[in-house]
Amino acid sequence: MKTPINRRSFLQAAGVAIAIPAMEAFAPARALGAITTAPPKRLITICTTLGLHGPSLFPETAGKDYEETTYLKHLAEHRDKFTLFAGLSHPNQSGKDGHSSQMTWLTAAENPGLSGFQNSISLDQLAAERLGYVTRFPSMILSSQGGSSQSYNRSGVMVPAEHRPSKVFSDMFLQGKDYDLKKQKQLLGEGRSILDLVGGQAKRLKRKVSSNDQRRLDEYFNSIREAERNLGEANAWVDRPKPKSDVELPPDVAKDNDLIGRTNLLMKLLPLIVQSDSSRVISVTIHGRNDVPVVDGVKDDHHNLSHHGQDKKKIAQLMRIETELMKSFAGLLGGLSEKKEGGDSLLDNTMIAFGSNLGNANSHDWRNLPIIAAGGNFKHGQFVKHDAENNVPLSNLYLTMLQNLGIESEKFGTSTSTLTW
Amino acid sequence: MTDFAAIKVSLAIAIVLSVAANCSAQVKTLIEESCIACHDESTETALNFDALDFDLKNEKTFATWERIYDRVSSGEMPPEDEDRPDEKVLEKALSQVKSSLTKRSLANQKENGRSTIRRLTRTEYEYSLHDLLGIKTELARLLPEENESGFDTVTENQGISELHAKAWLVAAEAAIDSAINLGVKPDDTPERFEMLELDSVKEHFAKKGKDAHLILGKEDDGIVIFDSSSTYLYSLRKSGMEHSGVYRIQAEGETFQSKTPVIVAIFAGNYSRGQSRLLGYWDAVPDEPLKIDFEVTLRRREYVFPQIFDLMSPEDSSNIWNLGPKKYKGEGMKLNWVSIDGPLHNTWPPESATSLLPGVEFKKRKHLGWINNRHIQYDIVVPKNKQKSIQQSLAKLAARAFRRPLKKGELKEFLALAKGRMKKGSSFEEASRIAMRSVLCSPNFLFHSGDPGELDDFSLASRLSYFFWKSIPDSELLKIANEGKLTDDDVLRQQVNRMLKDPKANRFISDFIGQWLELRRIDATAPDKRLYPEYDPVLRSAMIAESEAFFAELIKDDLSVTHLVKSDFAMINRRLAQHYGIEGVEGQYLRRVKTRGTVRGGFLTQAAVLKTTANGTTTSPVRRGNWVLSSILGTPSPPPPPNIGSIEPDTRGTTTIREELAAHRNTAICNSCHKNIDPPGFAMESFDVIGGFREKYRSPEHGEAPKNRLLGRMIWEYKLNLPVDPSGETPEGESFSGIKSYKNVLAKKKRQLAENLVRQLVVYSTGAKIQFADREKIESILDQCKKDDYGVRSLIHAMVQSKLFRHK
Repeated sequence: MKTPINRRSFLQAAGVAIAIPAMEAFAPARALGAITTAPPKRLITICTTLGLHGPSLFPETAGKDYEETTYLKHLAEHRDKFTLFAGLSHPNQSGKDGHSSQMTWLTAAENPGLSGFQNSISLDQLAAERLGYVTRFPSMILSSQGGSSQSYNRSGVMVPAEHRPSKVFSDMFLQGKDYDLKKQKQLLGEGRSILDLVGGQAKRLKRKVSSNDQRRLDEYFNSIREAERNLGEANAWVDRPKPKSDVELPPDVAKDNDLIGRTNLLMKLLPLIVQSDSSRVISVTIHGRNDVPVVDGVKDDHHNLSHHGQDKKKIAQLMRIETELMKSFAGLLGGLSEKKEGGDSLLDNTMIAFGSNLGNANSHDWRNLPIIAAGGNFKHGQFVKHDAENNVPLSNLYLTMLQNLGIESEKFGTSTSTLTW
Repeated sequence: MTDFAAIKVSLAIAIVLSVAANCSAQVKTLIEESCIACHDESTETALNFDALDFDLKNEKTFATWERIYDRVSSGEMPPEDEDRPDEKVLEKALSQVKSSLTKRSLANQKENGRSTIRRLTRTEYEYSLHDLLGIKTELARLLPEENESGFDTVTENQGISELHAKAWLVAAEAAIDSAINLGVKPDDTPERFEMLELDSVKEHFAKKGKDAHLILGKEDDGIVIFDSSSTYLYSLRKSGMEHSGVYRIQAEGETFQSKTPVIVAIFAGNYSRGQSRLLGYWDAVPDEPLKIDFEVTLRRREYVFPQIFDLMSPEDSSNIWNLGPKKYKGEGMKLNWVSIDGPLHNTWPPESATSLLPGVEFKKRKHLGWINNRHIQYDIVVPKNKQKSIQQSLAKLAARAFRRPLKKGELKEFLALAKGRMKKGSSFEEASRIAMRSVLCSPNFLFHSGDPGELDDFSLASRLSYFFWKSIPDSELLKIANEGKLTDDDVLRQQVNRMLKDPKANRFISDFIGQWLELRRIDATAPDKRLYPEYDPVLRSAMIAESEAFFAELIKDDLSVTHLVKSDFAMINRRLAQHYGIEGVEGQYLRRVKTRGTVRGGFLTQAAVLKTTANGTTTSPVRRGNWVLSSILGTPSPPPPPNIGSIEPDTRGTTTIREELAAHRNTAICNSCHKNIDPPGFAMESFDVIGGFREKYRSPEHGEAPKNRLLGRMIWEYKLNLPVDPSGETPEGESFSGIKSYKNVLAKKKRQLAENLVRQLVVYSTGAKIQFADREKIESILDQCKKDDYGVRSLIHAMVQSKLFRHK
């Protein structure tokens, strides 16, 4: 089938050649090049779990004329594309230990990890739930290491992360052999039959048990039905050809203490996900680790450096690590800026929340979080300083982002209103 | 009281009177006289009697009244500086609240049972499938992570979502795949790696001249290793496992230039995951050849490597990198070879396949096949009567998976599914597998259930086996259940004894204390390498083993619950003895060692606990104090009020954490909790982040150089700075000078320690939190065990015998 010429050339201009054998194959996803449709909006969240050294990040002066700080100077090129916030946080984050707020950065549930704690749905999963399978992956959950993520579904269950960019790349772009596709379809089909059968059993079992048990079995039953639906959607996507990428992704970074190498690679991967419209909701967790990251001049373990105890030598090392993280983030902003979509850049159609769940890692303080909102056609270029004693809920920013994504919602987490700046 | 306030109070009383209409007069009087002044609409306290009724059917209201009852009956409320309520009013009011709460709680238990239906945890899932199918494959990591806020066995802590449903499908496929292993029959001859023949070793020795930088020694029959960090030179990279299973590993070597024992450790590495696992470690003793021979579970794609620890440096602190093997005089270890044999199987295809497909035959292929990324050497011979064959395997699998005899016709729908698939062209194997996977995804397998009231024999058997074994009941337990004898007190007791004796009981020990004492989180932080250069994987592994062995010992010998906090022995090996400064312990096996005269004995002074409750650089009395309150005493503190700042740690060496905390204690609102939290934490300040005893804090720059040596060499990494002050005063006003005297304070709270342990065990084993009506039963368990000095085994027996365990 012939592809309209304007479409093809647009795609090439955008940096990724996407071969589209059949129009209908692409139809369920928003067709990237269709001139008539507005480009979709996307949401990326990025959390670095060991905080960012406040004095190196925050300027003295609020407003548009803020002075460049040690960290912000690495974002100078994108000054009009982001806003730095001070004085945002989630309320009541005293939890099981100093790092519990990691679980709730995207959810705002209170007192994480204390007895009886149940997490609530995370920003990205709520968005993914509403958007559904408009793309091959309703959401992408990525991490610098292991399966631990900050994304939680409606039942408060953590949705595991993928830490291998190569896997994400092949899931997005590699078509797979006929045999693999057949096997994949067979497993999906079998899965649905099995779920159908055990769903029936749950229903019958439910009739015989007490009312508390019934509620529990309902959850099981619903999860079975939900899984069945998901497998069905996924099954439909197996038949649709995948977009192609003419960009090769460098190989995965094997060393798990190479935090920066891994983060850089993730920041290279993100524009590919966005541009191929493989997913519109992406969460990234950059896990601070208990070992020495591969960064020049750093000899101590990252987590211990974050507990610098005001030791100047430790702070200097910590700043080296975090400077690299800031550069890595700048790389993402650059990567999204240089790619065009319609009249805008990809960055203009992509909202990013970048920051940490710790305001001061040295004392495990979860208030006054470092938060940068970038992209997404907001009015940027400012340092917005909220009250350090009386923080504004971070959920207000999240609610704003949700609404901007086109999701009708009056409240998210502990939001009191949307955030305007 | 101003007139205005008085009017307000009387109005409030009017509201109380109307809303809490079914409260007794005494309760109303108590509220009016002693509570309402601080707890009404106009006050900032969390409790507001104006808006509280007595509708105990409402869970929230119930919880509020439960808390009121607890705080008033413990004397915490009204606060000290207020007038005491009239004794008679108080007594009557409390007794009325108590009986109403008990009544409501019992009614709820009668209707629904104490516990609610719950799913298998990921740990239970993995062990169940291991025992069900006879496999060793890792499955837990395929399932969603468990919530960490309390025991993962508790219904309320368990999430269920479509992620679980999808993961159960995947895990069941992986388990069956591993069971029906039709791959190449493992070689019977052990694969022997001569250390001198390893490519990396040959390369190392091949380097000449200035580039050589030799750090390994070369002997006729092996290599000599002089340090702990050169494992990249002698990892058995070619040993990557194709199958998960049990392997036999052997190795031979001897010490070199050594006057003291040297530790030889064997690890499993994993390229894709980066993290390695310590499989075992042994002491090599000077002048005695070392022969290692052990069996261990290895996983697909793991490889094996040795690592040497505890090598003493020479007097002059010189090292191998500067001198090279010829001139270096420090201790070394000569390793000759390592051999790996497995997976060990008596038959092939393995028993897991033949027992899952009873009566089915397997035929060897002429040529190897390649299916699902695996070599295939055997084919299933399709039986004549396919349906009957499937029915046989399903009947066997489902009865064990469902942990009870099958109901009539229960298999029908599973068989219909298989039949339908075959009609659509699926093979016999595919059809069998989909039916088996359905069994493993069935709620009858995945959920623990039972009817309200006394559990029947089979539900009781399940509860027992998931308590002590984290898995399905074995055939004996099912047999006794089938005979209807398990509900007999004596038989139940015998079974508990039998189950505790079984090696599978280690699963309970590890899972239970891993959560109860939070030891699962031991690796949440890693000790600062410069401050704690003596920390290594052997020590880490020994720490956890110690705590597990200690708890096992308390159960085995029915030792008093006071041992939890104060014990005259510890379960240690030479590595731990080294760490604790205890002399005369040789060899790396754990054994009972007297601790009299030392600070050790009991959980509070075990390295695993001390490490888990610290971060990598500093200790916090608050963190440790909270741990003692919640894990040991069962009286957790509420979280700090919002907008209270945390303490900014300052390790530059000018202040100690105690001095920083002192500011806290001076504020009344902080002190109300910190008077309880800080004392145990202060006593535990005598221990550093890896559980070593200290009198001074280590500092990277300030203070004096340590006089002791680390493995024979001088310590340059840290200095010894400000002194530790482990003294304090309990909230009851008893002062202590350090950990020893603080342990005595705790040991006096015998009944409280026992009560907490029983509560933890009840919650863990039944999957339901303690309810108001349970209190009397717990008291009665404690009464029964008083004569046995609250022995841990006695407490377990009494708990299992009680209705708490035997009813749903």
